[in-house]
Amino acid sequence: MHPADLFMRLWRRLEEHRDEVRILAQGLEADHAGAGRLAEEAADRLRRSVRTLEEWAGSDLGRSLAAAQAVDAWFAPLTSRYDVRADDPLAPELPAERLPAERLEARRRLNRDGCFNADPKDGQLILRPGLLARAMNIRETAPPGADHDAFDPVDLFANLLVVPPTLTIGAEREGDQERRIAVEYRRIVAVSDQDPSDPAWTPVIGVVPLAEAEDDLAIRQFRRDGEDWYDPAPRDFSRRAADAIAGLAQQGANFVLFPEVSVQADTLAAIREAMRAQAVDGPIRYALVGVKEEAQEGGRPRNRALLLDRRGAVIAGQTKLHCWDLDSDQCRSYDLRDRNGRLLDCAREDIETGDRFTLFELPDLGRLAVAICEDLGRTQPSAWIASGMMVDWLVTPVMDSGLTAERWQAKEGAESSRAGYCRVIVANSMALSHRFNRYCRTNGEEDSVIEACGVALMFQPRASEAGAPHVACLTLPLSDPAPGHVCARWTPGDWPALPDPEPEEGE
Amino acid sequence: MSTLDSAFQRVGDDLLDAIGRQDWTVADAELETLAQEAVAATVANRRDDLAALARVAARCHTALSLRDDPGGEDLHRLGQLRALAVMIAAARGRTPPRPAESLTAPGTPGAAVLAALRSGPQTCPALVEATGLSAEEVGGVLPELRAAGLIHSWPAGRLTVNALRSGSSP
Repeated sequence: MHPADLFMRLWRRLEEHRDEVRILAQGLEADHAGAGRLAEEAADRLRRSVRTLEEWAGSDLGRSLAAAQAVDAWFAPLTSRYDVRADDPLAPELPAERLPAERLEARRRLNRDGCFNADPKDGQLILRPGLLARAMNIRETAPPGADHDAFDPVDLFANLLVVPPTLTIGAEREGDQERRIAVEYRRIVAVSDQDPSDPAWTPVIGVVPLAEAEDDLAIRQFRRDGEDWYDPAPRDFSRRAADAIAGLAQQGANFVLFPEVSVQADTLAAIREAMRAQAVDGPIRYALVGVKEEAQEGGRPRNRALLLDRRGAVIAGQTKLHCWDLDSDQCRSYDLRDRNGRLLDCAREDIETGDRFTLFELPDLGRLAVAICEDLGRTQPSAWIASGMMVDWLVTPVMDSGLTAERWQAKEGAESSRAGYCRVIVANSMALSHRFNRYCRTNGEEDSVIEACGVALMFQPRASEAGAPHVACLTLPLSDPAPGHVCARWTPGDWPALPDPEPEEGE
Repeated sequence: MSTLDSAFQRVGDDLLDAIGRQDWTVADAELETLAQEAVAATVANRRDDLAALARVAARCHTALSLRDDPGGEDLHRLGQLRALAVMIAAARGRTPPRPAESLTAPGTPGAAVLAALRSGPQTCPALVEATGLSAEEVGGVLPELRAAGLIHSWPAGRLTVNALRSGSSP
């Protein structure tokens, strides 16, 4: 048996007895010496063989936990940037060369199957830290809280994580039933030249709002089944998008983001061509493009984010999981009216939602999750991403009025960064800011009029409970958005710290 | 760009030229040179040279993969470039820890952590408190101290406990 397959058996047992495991864990946390003796016993059995460890664990829950943690420790060399000195005479128990055939098999399975376990029906067993965490495992600096509600068996393991095959997420719309979506971890294999696991690696991020004027992103409204619906329709910005890619390549951008539904088919083709033009000597390694995909046969369109590689090939995609239905206040803020000029009371987003959430492992970037607009604010999959603390980048393309460090995207982005210890980027277009300004001017709220339109928010997570996330807000003037893109190197030391959120009214 | 960077890039350019004119002997010679340099840089842990070689391998692979209607010989070199790039990436993704003398030099985070561990095993947050260092500094040096064999660690519930390895001298 491979250690990964034993881990999956033990993991199931621990999950089934969550309350007993919590009590066991708390006991070990209070008795470091006792925990050390138990860990050494388990490691000694694993050094002999996986079967010996399994027999030793038997049906005892405490030993099962120790055995699972011994397997987790055996995987540690794969999650560390540093090579263990296997020939160190002072450290004969170092795990580098223990069970070498099993280690080869582990690498083989990960490269070939995308997970360490042989049977993925119970989920994919993967390394918990992403590439950015290979030099400093955040699990060490930020241990989980002590309260009962905070206990999660995931936190018993620093090196391994089980990606469940499915996840329950909220209803598509209020009143509907909860849904189950597929969850997948996917390694994208490519020839790479970046080194995200190097602590000195500082990529350059570019954001292209693309829809700059109000008419650049028409919001079509219509009635269906007695309800009002909205449907954003981006114009063709092939030239603007290609110029932005060329400009950002000159500025050294490595990762370029286009906001939610900012790109239609012709523009996408132009972006792909521009990526291809810079592929050989340019710096851009990936672009994430918010597209509206029309249905093939009369269905609803899909709101998607497509990932392009340096050659412009579409290598992955994520479909929006939740609709963003607008209430009367939002309809008023965005000046959404029917054909008779009447302000709408509510407007539903006309999309086909996705049924799959994917974590992408990218050699030139790290581990990426994409949460399109509303998906960032909903409980799932955000809570799962945060509890796993396994993502390097969480990217959220949105279509909204200007971003600021106070609006909902900042609150949700900061929370995701805080809880998940991941870098968060929110990328926005500018078209809705014109609508918002019209509302402000009509209602005498001149103070709220947007002049410098926030098109990108970038959050660097804190490294410990005592620290604070750092945030950068990149803007373009709404009246003159030239050059039509923003660009910043990931240097959070130069960004302001984000204060802890103030308690909501009534708390 | 260093002189060696430029030299690597010239090898890459010449490799692409040779493939373009279907001079497979020269193309294979350039590939062999890149492979030899990659192994030498890996063995000597020359990080900057490995980075430069990664850029050359990825650039050549990208250029070749974008060619229209590649023939069998082109695809053969494309595969070799991919194998070379994978080896370089594997080498770049790992690094030996610094020598113990360097890791534990007075005034370094490593020395402070080892000194704090003299009083007994501690978790990372406890070490932050004991040393006065930032969480980033302690969290950054622990994996290297561990890989260097100067400390050992074990799980205690959800925590990781660190202790001096017997025989190591802080």
